[in-house]
Formats: sequence, structure tokens, C-alpha cells
Amino acid sequence: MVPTSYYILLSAILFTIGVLGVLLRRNAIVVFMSVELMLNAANLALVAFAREQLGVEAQVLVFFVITVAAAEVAVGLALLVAIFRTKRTADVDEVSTLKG
Amino acid sequence: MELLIWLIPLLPFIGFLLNVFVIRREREAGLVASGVVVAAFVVTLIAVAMLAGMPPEERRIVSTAWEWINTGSFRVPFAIMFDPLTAVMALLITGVGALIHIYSIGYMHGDPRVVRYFAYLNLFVTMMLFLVMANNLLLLFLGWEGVGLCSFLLIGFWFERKSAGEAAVKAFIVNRIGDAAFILAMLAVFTYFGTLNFYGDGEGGQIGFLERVSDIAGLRIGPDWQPIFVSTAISFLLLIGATGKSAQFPLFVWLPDAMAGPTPVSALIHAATMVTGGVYLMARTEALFTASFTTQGWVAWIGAVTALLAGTAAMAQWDIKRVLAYSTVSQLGFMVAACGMGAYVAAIFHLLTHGIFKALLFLAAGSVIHGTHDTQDMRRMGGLKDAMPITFRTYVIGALALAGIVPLAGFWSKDEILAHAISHGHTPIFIILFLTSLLTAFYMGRQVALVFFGTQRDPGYHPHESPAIMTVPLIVLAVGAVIGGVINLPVLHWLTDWLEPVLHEKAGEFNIWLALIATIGAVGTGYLGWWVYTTNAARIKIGGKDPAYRYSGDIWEGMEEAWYLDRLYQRTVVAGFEQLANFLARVFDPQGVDGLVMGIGRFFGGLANGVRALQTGYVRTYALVFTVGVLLVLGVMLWFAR
Amino acid sequence: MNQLGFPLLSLILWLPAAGALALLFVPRANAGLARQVSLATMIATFLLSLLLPLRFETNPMQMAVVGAPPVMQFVEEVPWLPIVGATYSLGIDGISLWLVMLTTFLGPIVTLSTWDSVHKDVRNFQILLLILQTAMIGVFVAQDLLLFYLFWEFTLIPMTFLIGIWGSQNRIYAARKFFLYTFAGSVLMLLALIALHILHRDAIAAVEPGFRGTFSFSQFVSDLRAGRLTLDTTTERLLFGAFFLAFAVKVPLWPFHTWLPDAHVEAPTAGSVVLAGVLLKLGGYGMIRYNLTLFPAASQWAAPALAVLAVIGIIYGAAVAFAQSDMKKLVAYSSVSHMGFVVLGIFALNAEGISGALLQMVNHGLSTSALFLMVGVLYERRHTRELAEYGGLWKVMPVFAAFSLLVALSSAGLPGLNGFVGEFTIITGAFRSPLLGWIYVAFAVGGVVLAAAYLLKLFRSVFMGDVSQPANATLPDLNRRELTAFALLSIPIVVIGVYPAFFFAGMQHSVAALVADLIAQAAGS
Repeated sequence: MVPTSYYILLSAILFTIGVLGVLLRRNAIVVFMSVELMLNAANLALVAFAREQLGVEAQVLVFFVITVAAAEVAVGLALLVAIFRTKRTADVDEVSTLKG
Repeated sequence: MELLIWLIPLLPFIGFLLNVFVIRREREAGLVASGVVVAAFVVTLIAVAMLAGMPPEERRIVSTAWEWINTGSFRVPFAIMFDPLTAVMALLITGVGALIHIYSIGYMHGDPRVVRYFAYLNLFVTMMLFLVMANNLLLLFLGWEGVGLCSFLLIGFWFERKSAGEAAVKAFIVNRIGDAAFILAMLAVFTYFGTLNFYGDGEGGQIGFLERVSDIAGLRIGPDWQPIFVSTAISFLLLIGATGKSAQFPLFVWLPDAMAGPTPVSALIHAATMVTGGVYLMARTEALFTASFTTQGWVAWIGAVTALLAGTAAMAQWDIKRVLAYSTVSQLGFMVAACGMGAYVAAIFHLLTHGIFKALLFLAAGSVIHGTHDTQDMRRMGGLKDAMPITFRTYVIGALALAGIVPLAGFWSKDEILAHAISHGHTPIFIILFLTSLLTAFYMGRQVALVFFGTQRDPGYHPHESPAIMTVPLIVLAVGAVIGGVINLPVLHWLTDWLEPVLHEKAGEFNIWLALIATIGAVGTGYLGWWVYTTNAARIKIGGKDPAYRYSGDIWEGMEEAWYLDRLYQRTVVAGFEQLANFLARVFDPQGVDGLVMGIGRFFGGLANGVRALQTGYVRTYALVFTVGVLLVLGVMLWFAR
Repeated sequence: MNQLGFPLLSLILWLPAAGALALLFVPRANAGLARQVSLATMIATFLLSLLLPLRFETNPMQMAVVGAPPVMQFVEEVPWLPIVGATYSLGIDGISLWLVMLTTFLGPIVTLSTWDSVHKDVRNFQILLLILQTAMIGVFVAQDLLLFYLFWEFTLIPMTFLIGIWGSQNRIYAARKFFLYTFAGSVLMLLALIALHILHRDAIAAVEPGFRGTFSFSQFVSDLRAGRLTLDTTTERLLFGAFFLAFAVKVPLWPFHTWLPDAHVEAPTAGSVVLAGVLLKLGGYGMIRYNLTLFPAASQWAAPALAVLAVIGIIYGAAVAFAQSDMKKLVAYSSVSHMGFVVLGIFALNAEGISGALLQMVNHGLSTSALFLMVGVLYERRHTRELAEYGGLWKVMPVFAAFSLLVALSSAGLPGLNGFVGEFTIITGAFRSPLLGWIYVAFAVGGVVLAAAYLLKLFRSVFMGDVSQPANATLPDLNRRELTAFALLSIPIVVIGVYPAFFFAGMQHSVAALVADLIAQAAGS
């Protein structure tokens, strides 16, 4: 059986890639994908823990995460489309009207 | 009887209301205004007659109209009274007042605001009557400030002139300084006596504070290292109040300027009645003053110093009215000094005779001004005795009375003050006052010579005698100035006896030697003044210097400027206050106080601006900060979880 | 308890607001109708409020007991927010009676003054004035602290708009300063109010479990006096300070006064009149009603220091007023000086001082309102407030000059007019107060001298001298509306001066009870 630590390691790597993607990429779509990656990295870790603990709580949590992620994508993409329509760009650095 | 005494102040008040709200025509205004004052005079006469019919010790009528102020323990009734002292004052006010009202009909003829003038004059008489008839200090203060207001209005009557406005404001504010002390005195009286009433109302109520001055005998206040008697504190504050109203040193500077008003006003307010308010106040509260030896000394010296200062200033004036103004200040000094020496009857006697002959002099001066087409500079006059015979004769009578020539009114009253000074051992005061009386004769001689003798120096006008409506009051007053002394002749001393229930004084000895010397001195210096200015008449040029200037030099200039006191105030007190006020208004308030307030606002504004720079608007920056924050929190947690 | 059997106070309180509501149905363009509706509402409110002094018991049957809350009349009480114990409770006593009357009396005069001065968006202006009227009356009649606070803050909003929309050049700055400054003070009061509520709730709940707390003023007072709620010295002083600061800003007490000249200079005439006439009185009223009654020991402790501030304000305000060349600023600073007298009287902590302060608030409301009206009359004709632009108007506008003189003299404290009675009673109180004394009075009396100086300077610059500016030579005298306003104001100015005993009689019972209570608390602590 594959040890849990391997899953955690993979989850950590995926999460880090996601963080770096959010921080470094400028295209809003890619940023979204990176966020999804982070969420799924967390899901992976949760599932791994669930298997080791032989419990269901973590698996239930995963379903919540998937639901929230779906909702987030729906709202987020809608926002993106709205921004693209007004600004003609998907570059997050171009959208800084909330500057204080 | 109570109704009768209310009529005395109410009649002129009705005249005031009529003149304000109903009357619009000059003729009616003059008739109504004079009519009500004459009526008030008649009522006063009746009241005096009724008072004389009572036994001497019961000669006081008190009448309360309503409770004026009533809060906590502080109760003041709106109450007036009528007693021998009030009676003589009321007679002077309504009598001389009536003559001046009548005279004004002629003097003010043709002025566009004559209705208003008579309204003010009526209001003045009302307030002056309240001043002398009040049965408590607060109502007296109402009259006191009321006459100050009328003085303000009448000095500023010709408000188009800049000097008139300035003089009016100056008079009011200098008086206010004295009034501030008056207010403090009232508070002290109320604190120590629990009432502001002079006398009880005779109905078993509270008795007034003048009847129980002994309550505060020996009582002291103030810090331990310098305690002062309560009686001294109260009477000294009242004295400051009196120096304001009665134009005494150091607050006399407003009176000469007050001559900017119409001349009948100067006669009524700034010679015969209002300025004697301070003397009346001291006579009324004589019990408080005599309780304080210290204050009495101050009173006597202030009076004497004022008499001398103003007497010298009167010698060097060119303006016909300013001579009389300084002379008034000087004579008021005589009265105040008399009060300070305890000669209250003599002070009141001099107040009455002075009221008559000074009103005469002012009205005659008004007649001169009227007849010379508003000339006031005596250098432009000269030789008017032929053109204005009645004015000339009445003026000379007034001048002789003022100079104290036997047997005119001024002689008897002034002599009584001087005699009192000698017999009670006030030698320095006596010397000053005697000297001043010589000066008085000198400047009156000078004035008569400058105005009526020689030749007319300014040919630009044709002098004419004034109409009968003006000369008749002059003649009446001249008769008064001649025989006025009768009321308190040394052998008869009617006035002393009449005032005995109020002032508790016995008639003094008549000093024949003093009378003789004083008369000879007055005649001599008076003649000297006349002689100097008739023989040197050729040297007097329009706008030129006085002949005496050659001999005295800068001293004469000092006299002309009344020893620079006014200028001193302008440069120190007035300028100092203006600078302070400007500093507070232009620098301290906007930059200091408001600067602090705005500083607090600006501090938070700046803080917010600093924090604002953190909000770049770049989503990725926020994400980075967020990540770093998470890492930090995790790090800290790990660190503590060790 | 309510001697009338119908909610008179509620009627007076909500009538102006109802008028404002009615104005919403008036077309925006119809300025004339808006003015008439507003004026009619104000007059109706005043007439209704006349019932108050008529039916007011100057000596209520229920005698004041030392330690009992103040005896209120025309009381109304309806539960409002039971969860925190707040009630809709109204009532007046001798302390608020004349202030309510002042507010309702000034209402029609303010509306009259807008006829010639406000031409922009008239309807909304009148709506704000009416709402403001309700809020101000509410402050005086509310007997529940939460309700009081609500009205207190609500006075700010219409006033801010009046300054910010209808003001002159620098109006936004002035409106913002006015709002922030007074709001900052009030927030502290809110904090203290909540603290008082919680302290009281916890103290009572310890004895009666399930007690939800209250905001009722009389309950606070009776529990404080009965010892069911005790505040330790530090807490009491802190609460006192928080309440006091809110009121001191409003009065305004030196050195919290700097919003006042800005607000006055920028505000339209009607705004200035309301501001000087009534809004400043809210502070003085608050000090007497809340500071003295709720925190008697702290009042005793703070009185000398606060009186020093008051005396500084008297002299300082007068000196600064003297140096002004802008008429409105001059009058604004004169308010600082005059309200200094009020605070001095309040913290004399005796019957003379407090009743003098109450009367002086009414006097100041009348005289200063009239002074602002006077400036307004000139401003509408010449569109400048600079003293140097005027001169010689006595000749051109004699009726106006006569009224102005009367008003200036009343403000300067001439005996026989209202200002003198108030000032003299206050300084009598201060002189006799064991906490203060003659040295305070000596300086305060200096303020009386200076008052004459700056008011006569104002009068002389405007009315005396020759007509130097050709534009002044043809100014029309007062029109009928202005004449009505001045004549109406002159009546109480003279009546209070000649027969103040009538006004003192209305307040003396309440003031005596308050002072007796103060003395008892001072002896107890």
C-alpha cells in the first residue's frame, strides 16, 4: 500500500504549484485554474487522511469543498465575463480600480 | 400719595412713548415733551409740599409696584421712594429739565430728527428720575444705565459726524467700567446684607441695608496678609462706579468729548443732572461711606485731584463748550471732595446750585453758538456783547455764580465746602480746593473776555440774539443763579434741616474770614483773567496760540490736553486691548485653538493616507500578502507548538 | 399624571415632522406654497405649545422629595424597545419649560426670515427646518436616555444639510467640521450612556434576577439616590466627563468653540438663527438635566475648573468678537462669551446660578437670533458682511436701526432688557457659590464691559457716521415680514427685562428641587 506521506507530499507539491500560479500568472483564467488546483490538492490530502483514519468526516468535507469550488467557479467566471466585457482583457493587473 | 410719586417718572415716560409711536411733527413733539416735564415738575412740587407736611422723621414714602427679580433667595422689588434727598434731586431734574426742554424747542428748530431728540430727552428724564427715586441699588442701576444709554444716544445724536459717534461710544464704555464696579458692589451688598433695598417698605417687611450698616462693622475679607474691611470694599467699589458716572479722575476723559452732542443736552445731562448721579449715589449710601475711614480719604482726594486737574485744563481750552465741560468736571470734584470730607449737605447744596448756574452757562453758550451760526471756537468770537445783550448778561451772571462771587448761588455752596474743609482739619484738601476756586474765577474771566469783549475776530458771520423761547429760560435760570443760595444761607440753613432726616448733619459754622478772602481772591483772579484776555485781544489769532503760552510754554499745552491722560489711555489701555484682541482673533484662535482641532483632524487624515497606499488595487499583491500572512501564522503556530 | 388627558407633548413634538411630511406632496417648484405650509405648521406648533405655560403647575401637588427624580408634567409613556428597557417617554418640568417655549417661539420667526433669503430648493429647505424643529423639541422633552440620544443626534443631520447645501462659499468645509466636531463629542456620550445602562442592569439584576435594564432617566435617578446603583468615584467622573464633553462642544465652551464661527459664517440666516437660538441651548440644558442630576458628586468636584473655562470663554469670546470685521463672526464669538455666562451659572450649583443660566439661555436665544436676523437683513441688501462696507444706515433705515439698537443693548445687558436680568442673576449665583466666589465674578464682570465695547462697535460701524458707500444710500427699510419678526422678538426682550419674576416662577420649583438634591448629595458623599 502506498504510504500516506506520499499522498501528502503530492498534495503539497500540487498546492505549491497552485499558489505560485495564483501569484505569478496574470491571466485570470489561469489564476482560476490555479485556485482549483489548490482546492483539489486540499481534497487529495483530505481523502488520504480519511483512508488512514478509516473515517468519513474528511470525505464529507471533500464534498463540501467540491460544491464550494463549483459555486466559486460559477460566480468567478461570471465576474470574469463581466470584466472582459467592460475592460476587453482578462489580465488581473489591468483591473485595479479599487486602488485606495 | 404713592400714586402721585409714580406719576413723577411716568409722565416723562408717557411723553417718550408718545414721541416714539405717535408724534411725527416737530411742533407737537416739543410741546408734548416740554409739557410732560413741566407736569412732572408740578407733581413733584405737590409731592414735596405733602412731604413737608409730615413730621420730619417720617418723611419717606416707599411704593412697590411688583416683584422684579425673584429667584432663590435673591429678591428685588420694583420699588420707588420719595424722601427729602430724592425730593430736591427730583425738583432739580424736572425744574431745570423743563426749562431745557423749552429752550430746545428753539435751539433744535429745523433739525430733521427733532421728534427723536425729544423722545430721547423724555426718556432721559424718566431714567434720571428712576435713578434718584429707586429704593434699591438694582433699580438705581436701571436708571444709572438708562441715563448712560440716553447720554449715548444724545451725544451721538448727530451721528453723521465721526467724532459724535466716537464720543458716544467712548462715554458709554468708560461709564461701563465704573458700572462693572457698581455691579460688584451690589453683589457684595447683597451677600452681606441679604437685600438691595435702601430702606424697608414700612409695612413690617425687611428693613433696608442703609438702616443696618452696623451689621458689617469690623467685618473683614480678603487674604490674611492684607484683610480689608467689608465696608471699605463695598464703598470703594461704589466710588469707582461714581467716578465713571460723575466724570472723576481717572475716568473723566469721556466728558469733554461728550460735548459733541447738542448743547441743551450738554446742559441737562453733562452738567446739571446725569453727571451728578455719582454724587447722589454717595450721598444716598452715605452710611456705607462714613463707615469706612479709608474710602472717605480716597473720595476726598479723588475729588480734590479731579477739581485741580480739570480746573487747569479748563483754563487752556479754546472750545467754548470744552471750557464748561472741564469746569463741570472740576466742580463735580468739589462735590466729591465734599462727600469725602463728610459734608454731604454741602455737596448736595453745591450740586443744586451748580445744576442751575451750569445749565445757565451751557444754555447761554448754546445761545452764543446758535447766534454765531455754529461757531464753537472762542478764537472766532469776540465782541458779542452788543449783538447778544441778554445772552451776555445771563452769561456773566452764570460766570459770577460759578466763580463764587458774593452773593450769588455758587458763593454760598462753595463756601460751605471750603468752610467744612477748614473746620474739620482737611488742610491739604482745603488748599487744593481753594486754589481751584481761584482758577475757576480766572478761566471764567478769560472766557467772558474772549467771547463777549474786544472785537469780532472772524468776520464770516453776523451774530444775532436768540429768540425769546431760548432767552426766557436763560433769564429764569439767571434769577435762580442769583438767589439760589437762599435755600441754605448760613443763618437759615433750610436745606440742612430739610435733609437732616436722610443725611443726619447739623449746620456748620459760617467762617466770615474765609468768605472774605475767597471772595477777594475770586474777584481778583476773575478780573485778572478778564484783563489779560482783553488787553491781549490783539494777539489772539484764529488757530493761533494762547497769549499765556509765551510764558508757560509746554505746561500750557499739557493743560490744553488735560495732562495727556486721554492720550495715555488711548496708547496703553485701548491700544493694548486692541492688540491683544487682534492677536487672539488673527493668530491664537485660528492657529492655536482651531489649529489644535484641525491638527487632530489632519493627524487622522495623514494616517489614513499612509494606510491607503497599501491598497494598490492589484489582486496579485493582495494574494501575495495573504500568502505571506498565512505562512507567518503557520510559522508562529509551529514555533509555539514545539 | 398628565393633567390634560391627551398627549399634548407628542402633538407639539410631531406636528413639525407631520408638516415636513405634508411638504413632500407639495410640488418642488411651488416655493410659495412650501413656505406657507411651513409657516402655518410653525405657528400651529407655537400656539399649541402656549398651552404648556398655561396649564403648567408652578407648584406641583407632588412635592419634590430630596432623593426623588425630578417631578415631570404632561408625562407620556409607551414601551418602545422592551428588550433593552427603552420607553417612549416624554415630560417637561421647570427646567425645560421655557426652552421648549423658546424653540416653538423661534420657529415662525425662522420661517419668516427664509422668505427673502432662501431661493434655492425652497421646499427641501423647509422640510429640513421642520424636521430640525421636531428633533430640538424632542431633546427637551425626552425622558428616556436612548430617546434623548436619538433626538440629540438627529438635530445634527438637518443642520448639516442646511449649512452644506444653502450656505455660502466655504459651506462644505463648515458643514463637515460642524458635523464631525459635534458628532465626536456625542459618541463619547453614547459610550457613557451604554456604560450607565449596563452598570445599572448588572447592579439591579443582582437583586432582581431577570431585570433587562432600562434607559429611563427617572429610574436611573431614583436608583442612584436609593443606593441601588452606586458608582465609584472614578467611574462617576469618567461618565460625567463623557456627558460633559458632548454638551461642552455644543454650548460651545471654550476651548471647544472653533466650529461655531465657521458654521455661523457659512450658514444661511435661518440656519444661524436656529443654531444660535436653540441648538446651543441643547448643551446647556444637557448639563443641567444630565450632568448635575446624574453625577452630583462629580459636578461638585469639577465645578471650579469648568467655571474657569467658562470665565475664560467670557473674556476670550468678547475680545475676539471685538477684533472681527465680519459681522457674523462678531456675533458668533459673542455667543461664546454669552454662553460662558450660562456655564458659569450652571456650575455655581445654586438656585440663583442655575435659574439665571436657564433664563440667560432664553435671553441669548432671543437676542442673538435677532442679531443674526439683523445681519441677514443687511446681507440680503448688500451681499457683504464686512463692517467696513456699512456706515450711516441710521439715516437710511431708521426703523431697522431702532430695532438693532434694542437688540444690541439687550445683548450687552442693559438693565430693563432681558440680558441684564440673566447675567446679573448668574453672577449673583457665582458670587455666592461656595465653590466659586468673587474672583470669578470680577473677571465675568469684565466681560460685561467688553460686551458693550464690541456691540457698540458693531452698531457704530453700521449705523453711525456718514453714508460712505453710495450703494447704502438707497437701501430700503424693513419690509413687513422683517418688521414682524423683529417686533415679535422685541416683545419678550422687553417683557423679560421688566417682569422676569413670571419666568422665574415657572422654573423655581424644579430648580429648587435640583439644588436641594445637589446639596444633599454633596453632604452625603
